[in-house]
Amino acid sequence: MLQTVLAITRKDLKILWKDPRGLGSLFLMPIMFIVVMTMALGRLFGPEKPGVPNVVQHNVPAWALFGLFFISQQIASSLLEEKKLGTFRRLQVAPISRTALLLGKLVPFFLVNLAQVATMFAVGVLLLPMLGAPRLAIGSHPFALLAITVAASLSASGLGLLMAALAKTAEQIGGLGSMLVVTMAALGGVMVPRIAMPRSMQTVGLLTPHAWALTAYQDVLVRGAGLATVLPAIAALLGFASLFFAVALVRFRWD
Amino acid sequence: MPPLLQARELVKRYTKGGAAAVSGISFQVERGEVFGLLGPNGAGKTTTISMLTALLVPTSGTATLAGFDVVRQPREVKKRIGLVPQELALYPTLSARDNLRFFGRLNGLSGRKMAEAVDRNLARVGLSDRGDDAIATFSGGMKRRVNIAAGLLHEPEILFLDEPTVGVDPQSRNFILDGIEALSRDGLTVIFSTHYMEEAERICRRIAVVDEGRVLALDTPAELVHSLGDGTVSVSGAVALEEPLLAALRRLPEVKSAEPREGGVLIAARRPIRILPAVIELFQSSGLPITSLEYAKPTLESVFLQLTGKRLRN
Repeated sequence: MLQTVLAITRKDLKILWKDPRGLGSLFLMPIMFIVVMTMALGRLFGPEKPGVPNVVQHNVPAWALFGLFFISQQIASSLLEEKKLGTFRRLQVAPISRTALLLGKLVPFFLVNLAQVATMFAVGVLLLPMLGAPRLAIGSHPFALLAITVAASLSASGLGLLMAALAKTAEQIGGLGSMLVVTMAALGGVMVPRIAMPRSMQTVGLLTPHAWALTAYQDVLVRGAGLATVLPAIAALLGFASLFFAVALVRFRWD
Repeated sequence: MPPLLQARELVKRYTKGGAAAVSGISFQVERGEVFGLLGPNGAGKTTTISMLTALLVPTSGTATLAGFDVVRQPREVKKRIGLVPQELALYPTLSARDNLRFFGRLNGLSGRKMAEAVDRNLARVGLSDRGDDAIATFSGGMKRRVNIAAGLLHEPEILFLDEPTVGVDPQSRNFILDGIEALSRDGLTVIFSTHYMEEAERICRRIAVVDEGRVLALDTPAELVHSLGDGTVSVSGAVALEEPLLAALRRLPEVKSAEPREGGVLIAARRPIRILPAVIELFQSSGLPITSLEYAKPTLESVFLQLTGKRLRN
């Protein structure tokens, strides 16, 4: 089981590494958004107020989540590509379990998610101060940040598997998938902070995992919260993950 | 010794109550045999192979491989089989070696055993010097060869080859067929599906002629061909044949069969040339014009035509 998961993980990371488009959308795009939006919106956020995120405390976690959820498309494309190539059939004729196969298809992207978030936070700590923006302070609860990241990544994985289960073509994943991911990000407060939205929009935003994850990140970064405080948000993210996985596994076609 | 593979009345319907892709296929394969599934595209060959390799659960019927049931003991079955699917099931951006290592690992290989298996199989398919190149840089024939190597890595007891020569240049095709013959000499059991009869005739010890999900005939290539006598005569006329004329044709000496075909008849006979005058005579006395008359030496193609009324390749 472990050997199988590791083998598929290594193989998929290698394939991802050889595809500059994938890495571009997962790493370069969110970094670019963090830098540009931080530079552009500095004045809009105005002077620091206690308990309210500054321009860096908004943009770093927000665009990190934007990038993190782009993994859903990568997961779906990767599964569809296996089916198109015929390798999915070959994977299934090997003496391995379906659970190991699916885990193998998800773990590499989970690892990429961790690397993405670490990179985005490093941009906030190291790069942004060089550009004249405030330095991002990680705060005293890094494990809370990690827990939020893991939970958010699980819901992104579930969403990826769901897309793979529902989509019939790569075009659908590229088109409808992008639309879905960008819309969820917008509603979840990535582009515009949810506190700037009308009350009704804020409520609608709660239907996205982005909103829960972003609020939780900011609870830790801005308001000094620990793991206990963000547990409800983590539970909500795991709820999204369970829902996505449940529907995906029912609808997923193995042939 | 019991047969290595035994399929009994396999049926597969993809939708409940829908048309059957496979409707009751049975056969046995002995250890060391090269067994052919010969039929046109859509005959149910791939579906049959999918059931035998525990990829698809049959709607009804059973199959055992080395005594293990494909539905109840899929893991045991999968350990013993290699599959070379019809698609080039390889990762184009990875090297041949990386592809083989990956599939080897999934089949439980590691360390020294893995390194040896990869080298041995790259050599087997004549690609030792290209192992580190990406699959995307290979020709169609080379990809097919890596595809075969991937099915052989873990030294299976039985190798399933699903149309392994589709879209391959003649040189690679020969290489592949020679390779299968060599594997068979080494004692590997091979199940080979194809719609190229000359391939089936060349490498298979026994052939199941398959069409519309059924086995129409199963025998050695020589016996299958022999069933047609020494050849066939096909007569085309402008109008459909009436039953009395068919009956009269069948009564001719040494005629094995006379089957109506669109606008004509296909006659198999021990000495077909000898019956030609009598055939022409019968047509003339019935007042039916003959537009063409064709004599064919018996081949698997004519066996197939005789069994199904269809040509293998259209």
